[in-house]
Amino acid sequence: MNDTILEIRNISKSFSGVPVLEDINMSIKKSEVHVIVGENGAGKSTLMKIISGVYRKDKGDLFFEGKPVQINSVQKALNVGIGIIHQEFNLLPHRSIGQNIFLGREPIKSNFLKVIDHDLICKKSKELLDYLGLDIDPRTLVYNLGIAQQQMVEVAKALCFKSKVLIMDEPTATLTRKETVKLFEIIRKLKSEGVSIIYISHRLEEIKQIADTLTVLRDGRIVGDLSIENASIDQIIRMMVGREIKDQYKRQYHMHGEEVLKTENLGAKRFSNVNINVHRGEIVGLSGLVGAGRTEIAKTIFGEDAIEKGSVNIYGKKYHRMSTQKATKLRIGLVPEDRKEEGAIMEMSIRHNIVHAVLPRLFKSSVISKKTELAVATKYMEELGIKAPSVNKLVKLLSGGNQQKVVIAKWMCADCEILIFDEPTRGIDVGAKAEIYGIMSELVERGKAILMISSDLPELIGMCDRIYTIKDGMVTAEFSRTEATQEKILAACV
Amino acid sequence: MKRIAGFALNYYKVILLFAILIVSSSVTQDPVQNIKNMIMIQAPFVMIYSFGMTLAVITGGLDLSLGSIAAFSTCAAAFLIIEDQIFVGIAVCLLIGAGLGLLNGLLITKAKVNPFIATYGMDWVIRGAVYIMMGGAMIYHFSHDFKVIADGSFLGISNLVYIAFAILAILMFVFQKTVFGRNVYSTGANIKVSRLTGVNTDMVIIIVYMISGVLASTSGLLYVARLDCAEAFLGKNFGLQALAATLIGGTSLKGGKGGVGNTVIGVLIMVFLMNCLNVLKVSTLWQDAVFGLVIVVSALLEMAKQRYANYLQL
Repeated sequence: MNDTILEIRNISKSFSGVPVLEDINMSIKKSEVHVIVGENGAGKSTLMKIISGVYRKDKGDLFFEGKPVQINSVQKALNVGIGIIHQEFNLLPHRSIGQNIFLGREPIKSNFLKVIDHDLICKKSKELLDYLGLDIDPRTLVYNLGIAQQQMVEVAKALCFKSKVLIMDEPTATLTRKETVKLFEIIRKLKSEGVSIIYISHRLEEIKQIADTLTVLRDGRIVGDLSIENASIDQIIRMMVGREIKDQYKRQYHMHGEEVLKTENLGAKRFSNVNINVHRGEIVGLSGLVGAGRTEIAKTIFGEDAIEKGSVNIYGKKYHRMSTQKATKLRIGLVPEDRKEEGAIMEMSIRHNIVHAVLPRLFKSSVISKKTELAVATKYMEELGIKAPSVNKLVKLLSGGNQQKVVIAKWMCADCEILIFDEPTRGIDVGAKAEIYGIMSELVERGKAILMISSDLPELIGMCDRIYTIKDGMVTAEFSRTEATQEKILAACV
Repeated sequence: MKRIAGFALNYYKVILLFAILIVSSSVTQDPVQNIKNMIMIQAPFVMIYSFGMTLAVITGGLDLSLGSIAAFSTCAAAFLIIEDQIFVGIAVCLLIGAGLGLLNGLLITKAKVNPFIATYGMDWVIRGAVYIMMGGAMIYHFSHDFKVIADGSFLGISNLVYIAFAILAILMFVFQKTVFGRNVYSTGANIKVSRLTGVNTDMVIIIVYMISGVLASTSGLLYVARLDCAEAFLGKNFGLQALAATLIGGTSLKGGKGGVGNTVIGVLIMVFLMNCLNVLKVSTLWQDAVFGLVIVVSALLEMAKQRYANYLQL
């Protein structure tokens, strides 16, 4: 086992009681590219954040070059020799490349005055950039750089620490094909010098080009280690999905009503030419990887983001411009992905949140009757089974599942006809998930229309009548309930 | 012990108020007249423009242009009032207040300028405009009909008190009982959620700054009536005083919390404290420092109250 540089033993981690990683065992060899794949939410990023000291593990041990190490901060990880390049860069845009590379550990000229040795920074940065094959002046400010170049600065930063293990989280997500080729060259170069790379990616086609070993994660567990020669893309996809669709989705399928929501060649910042439709009594799913443009489509329909091309048709009427006020008046409701920042007002009571959307319609004279408000809020709190001692409790004191129910209650209270659910069950425990599925099923029974975004494929297949797949801001396929399988959907998403 | 601490934290403002009163009353010769003077004459002015600040703070912003709005609108109106066009003058004054508030609101919502920068910048711009308009002159000797607004009294209580409390009652009703008021609080607490719930948050913020402008003009007008003089220097310290009263009252700069009711207490603490320092013959050089200390200490007490809320069973 001499060639193992980093060994991960029995690592577990849970967030507020929800297990994210269970009993992970993995070993990274010296100078190999070890690829980790898995669906959204499989636990890849969490694992990487534990290795690089961003999160603390609940259980388990790490061994670096055979010796046990305690990594409890990013600084510690860097000193041990583990560097990470996050999906979102950590660069200061208004500082130069050199200043970014040496941020926090600038060389000083003399011990007395602690003057930063800018010449040395410049010289050393130049060497690093040369090594990476980048012909840029290290004094250039970072905000003048393209994404690919910024990524190289991150690589240089990690190299400067003499990292022996370099973690790259979806490094090619924002790169063009040409830039990707360049990045791969550098990865190979680093590899030949003994650096090990842990590489996370969704793009299965590029894995073949770069990987030595492959680990598949699913629901926080390792489902397989493969050497790349004998792995086919089909096999990888099968390993990534695999979970059985359980019978927790109590859907009854009826004839659908009229079409209430339709987009015509809809385009905005992150997507284009989107044509989807939703009928009454129907749940329509949007599947795709993180960043594919699903949330942006939802927010554009709801009027939060501006429509750039095409139109949104609501109840058959065409809208080229939409605003959140107009959308709510048209009885559209959005249950956003980030319920703490966008879904409910945490610092306000359950009562205030539930009646928030219905206020102008409930109190036409504009004067709020506390009695009516209380009655309405209590009714919906009971109907949705929100567990709290009183409607006056602040939402921030509730569990994730109950917070989500408050957001749903807000839109039910406003009598929405079209509901958009963006990752409705993320970070919610199993019991509350089933309750939310129940609420959604009942809503469509009552003739509402639902557009549902989810990264959880079994959930999507279990709940939806139809599923659209989105890739790079385009609709790539449409599956009916009977055709949809996890393999087919995933193949259309990656 | 726990109960005493809990009581003290919960009612520290009222305790502070009485403590200041006792100190000042013990050294003045006619404490009743002194208190009457503070409540009837000094407090109403401060209250009215502090309400404007409080509303802006609830939306998560602030309005530092109160003083210059008061000066600009009253000076412009004074040209009419001196010609005995009292009602037209008052209407023009309030309209200018609303208009300047609208400008603040547009800067903050549509141009997305930070409220501090927008209103601070506007404060200089408007103040500069008054200097130009007045050219160093003052307008004075208004008619009795105008002056009586601030000087008169009814049933032994100054008109100023009636005006301030009428405004307080209206604001309390609008901000606690109406959909608009609720939306102001929700916008302040979380503007994104509010917008995603269909609240026209831009409109909410613009209207609040307009109300703030009108309140600034109103208090300015009362000052002019009281002092019988309109001048460009009016209200130089309105903004910061109003902010102090708002913060002492316990309205959080984070937005979405507090209210004009709290500010009444904040204003009383402030006015009583200034009076107390005066009767104690504390040098004016020290007054600012003591004043600042009260702001900082009340912020700390407010934090302590929140932190130990569970422990002390408040």
